[in-house]
Amino acid sequence: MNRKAKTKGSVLSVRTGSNPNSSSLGVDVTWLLGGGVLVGLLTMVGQTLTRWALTRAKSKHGQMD
Amino acid sequence: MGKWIELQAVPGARDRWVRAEPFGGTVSFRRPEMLVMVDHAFLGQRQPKSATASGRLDPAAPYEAHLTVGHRCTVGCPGCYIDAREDGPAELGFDEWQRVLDKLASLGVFHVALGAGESTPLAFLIDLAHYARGLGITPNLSTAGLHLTPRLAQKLGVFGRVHLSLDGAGRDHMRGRVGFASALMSLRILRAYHPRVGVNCVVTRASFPGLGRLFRMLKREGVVDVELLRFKPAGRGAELFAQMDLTTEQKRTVVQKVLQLARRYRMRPRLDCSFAPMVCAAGYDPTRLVRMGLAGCVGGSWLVAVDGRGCLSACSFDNTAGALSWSDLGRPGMMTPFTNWIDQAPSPCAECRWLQVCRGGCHVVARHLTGDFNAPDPGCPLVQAQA
Repeated sequence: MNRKAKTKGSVLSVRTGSNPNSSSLGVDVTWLLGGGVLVGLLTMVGQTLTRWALTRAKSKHGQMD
Repeated sequence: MGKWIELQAVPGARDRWVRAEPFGGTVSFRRPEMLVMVDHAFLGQRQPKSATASGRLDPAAPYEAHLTVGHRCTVGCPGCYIDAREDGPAELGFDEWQRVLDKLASLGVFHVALGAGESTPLAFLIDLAHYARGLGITPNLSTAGLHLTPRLAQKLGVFGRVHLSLDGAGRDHMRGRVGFASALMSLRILRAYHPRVGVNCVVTRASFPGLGRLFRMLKREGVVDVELLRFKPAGRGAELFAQMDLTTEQKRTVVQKVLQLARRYRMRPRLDCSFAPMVCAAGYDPTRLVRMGLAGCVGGSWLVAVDGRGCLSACSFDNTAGALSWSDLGRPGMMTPFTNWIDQAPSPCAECRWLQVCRGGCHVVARHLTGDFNAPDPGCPLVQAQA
């Protein structure tokens, strides 16, 4: 499992929303509710969406980077 | 599914969807709005030898830029962090701002947050926002709502998100000539014409007890996004800081209070970067905080600021602005006092398990209160406990 995860790489951080403030940088703290479960969920969703989107972008546009 | 997911191509680079970073890469989504930072392996790449050994998420270029477009303003907010006045200094013209945006796009900056003294016509900001969109950058706007009309609000759709400055319900609102009733009217106009409207609220010693009233009022108005900011000792705010700064007890309890209100009113509060020490002091696991994107002082790293005179700084509150110009954007090592702070962190920050997340709290506050930019943020509950 660990080896598999290592090969697939990992999501380091997911920042939701975009910063609406022209003077400082905010972070959505509602993820702190519900213990660690919500943050775990957020990471999983970020990972799934990113993999899906990158695969799709790759097939649509060829090499991404 | 594609309808619900929209990737944001790296600005300035056609058909490139991942921005390369020392730690791997960053993918920006327009829908749902999020930035996802991944490691090299996630992208199917081998970790280069030059990759940062520290494990810090310092990107290759800023994620966003804060553009304070104008310094002239008739509103007269008592704590204005840019000390905007009716007879403020000469400002960049539209052509120059276009060049700033060109430069930001060439660096791959994803978002810009536009703000201005309220004498800057919103129409000017709207034109700038269109230009930013054309470059692939998502523009956001914060405004006090002065002179906002339904006709103007209709044109704000170009912004990804619009936030109104509202410091509290009723008397807690302290925005000079823009009284609470006027701000509320602006909020309603914005809500009628823009799908993503929220509120920016500067939390002060006096307004802290009224946060519940603010949340209740916003809930009633159908607003769920509220960004809470710590009062900063910058501009006119420097003189007021001692009376506006939260008390020790308020700093200790602010995070729990905000979360309680979020749960009660089902709202989505954001805490600004200067609240990072308070979030860390609440005892959350540092790994979890990094995962959800919490970052303390990321001035000069995740963000940069350009003011109306074209001065570049690590953040909007950095009053050393003037030494650098927007044309210095992208020059290596320009923000080292901010970006290298963590490598020379003093005690007790150096031993703190949240150091990598908090990054010493707000250095602008530290400089104001201690005279030393490198000192730990004296407002941090953990620093206070040590003292």
